[in-house]
Amino acid sequence: MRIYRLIFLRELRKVFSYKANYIFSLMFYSSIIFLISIGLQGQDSILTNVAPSLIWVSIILVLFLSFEDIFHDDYYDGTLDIYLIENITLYGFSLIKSISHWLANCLPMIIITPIIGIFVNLDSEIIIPMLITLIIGTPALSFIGCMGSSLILSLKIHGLIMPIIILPLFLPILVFGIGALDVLIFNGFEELFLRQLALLAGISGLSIVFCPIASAYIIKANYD
Amino acid sequence: MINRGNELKLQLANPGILERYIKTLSPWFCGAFISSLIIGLWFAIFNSPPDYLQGETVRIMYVHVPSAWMALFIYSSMAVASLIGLIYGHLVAFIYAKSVAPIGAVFTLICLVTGSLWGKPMWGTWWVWDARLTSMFILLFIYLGFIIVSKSFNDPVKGDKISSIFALIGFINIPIIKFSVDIWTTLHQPATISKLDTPSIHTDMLIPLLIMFTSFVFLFLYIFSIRFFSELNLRRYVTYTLSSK
Repeated sequence: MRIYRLIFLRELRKVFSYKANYIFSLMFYSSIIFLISIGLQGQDSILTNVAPSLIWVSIILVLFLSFEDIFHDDYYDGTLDIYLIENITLYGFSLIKSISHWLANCLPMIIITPIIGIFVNLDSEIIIPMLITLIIGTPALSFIGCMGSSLILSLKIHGLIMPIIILPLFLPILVFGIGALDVLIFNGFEELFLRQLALLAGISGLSIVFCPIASAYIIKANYD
Repeated sequence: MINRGNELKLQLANPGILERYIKTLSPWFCGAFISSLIIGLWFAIFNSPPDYLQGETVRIMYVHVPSAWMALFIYSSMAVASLIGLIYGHLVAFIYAKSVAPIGAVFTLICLVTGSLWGKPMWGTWWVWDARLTSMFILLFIYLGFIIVSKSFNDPVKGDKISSIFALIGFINIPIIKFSVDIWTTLHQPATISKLDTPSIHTDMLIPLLIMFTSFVFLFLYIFSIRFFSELNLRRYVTYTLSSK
């Protein structure tokens, strides 16, 4: 168990120190939000209605770009080979990768969402439900994205392939995430909100359980 | 002593013998497709009643519904073939999954386009983001993703495995498409034929629909046989160049 903790710490140190991925995702996130708000000429009435969708869509766009090199470096510099020799299970490895991806990319974006909400005129009563849907929904995005990242591991032409492959699996999360908020904004039904949230949590749970298994299998297929 | 049925199954698992079988059958597929298409179109255009609500536009159904069935059928068979391929590591299953994917994508596209042409006069819009339509659109993207993944590996063995896993992951969408009209309240009508009790469609409309479906099945088989030959020859070429190095 100790070795997994060390790998986890190594991953965290890697993402939070010299590569500083989280800074780039935060910058890209806010720049998408700014572009769209300026593109809508800052009309408050439109922005209030579309703010939850805007935040969800920008987070997904940022994540699309962040999935590209999750396993890439470890695969090509031989770290993964060493792990395999040391009998570290690929399941545990991809679980660690997914969790550290969530901590490095999704969590900072969730933390600055209340501040971003000011710029898109997000209703102050929606901020807490918005954060709840993001916290429940984004793990699914990270885990599915890691699985997709292992799919394109040994391809030379990654980049724009990734979003196309992953897009269909992201759509349910987007639909239920925004659906929950829409129910709350336009109808005010707490019960329906909780029901959509339960569906979202179900998708998250399923992907947390099954995606590392699938991605371990896919990585193993690359070594055959 | 192997019995007769088992022997045939063993033969069909051999790509070379299967190729010979398909080569003899493929002209028959083509003939069956053309003749049933002519009969089906004659029934659909001249010999079926217009709907009492929708009028003449109901004739779009005879292309729309069979192509939707074909799209779902092809994806399901692809997923089953991928599973068999992953378990038994059999070449024919992988070749099947790889060669039918573009056919399924085109059927999905036909279904979406005819549905949108039908939706304009009936619902008043080309497109709504409703559960059935959205999940069908996702199916198109899953097909495209599968095609991209299966074509972008240099090593066919690795590519087969990874694209099969992708096909199995994408299979989640098929039950969603099937039950989307029952779970959510949608603009699209619920199932009328594949119900457990008697179908709620009139026999005069059911006959041309089934004939059109048969013709689409033969079209699928015909295109599949062509693609099967080309894929098999590609594998032979890859094996040949690898072994001659």
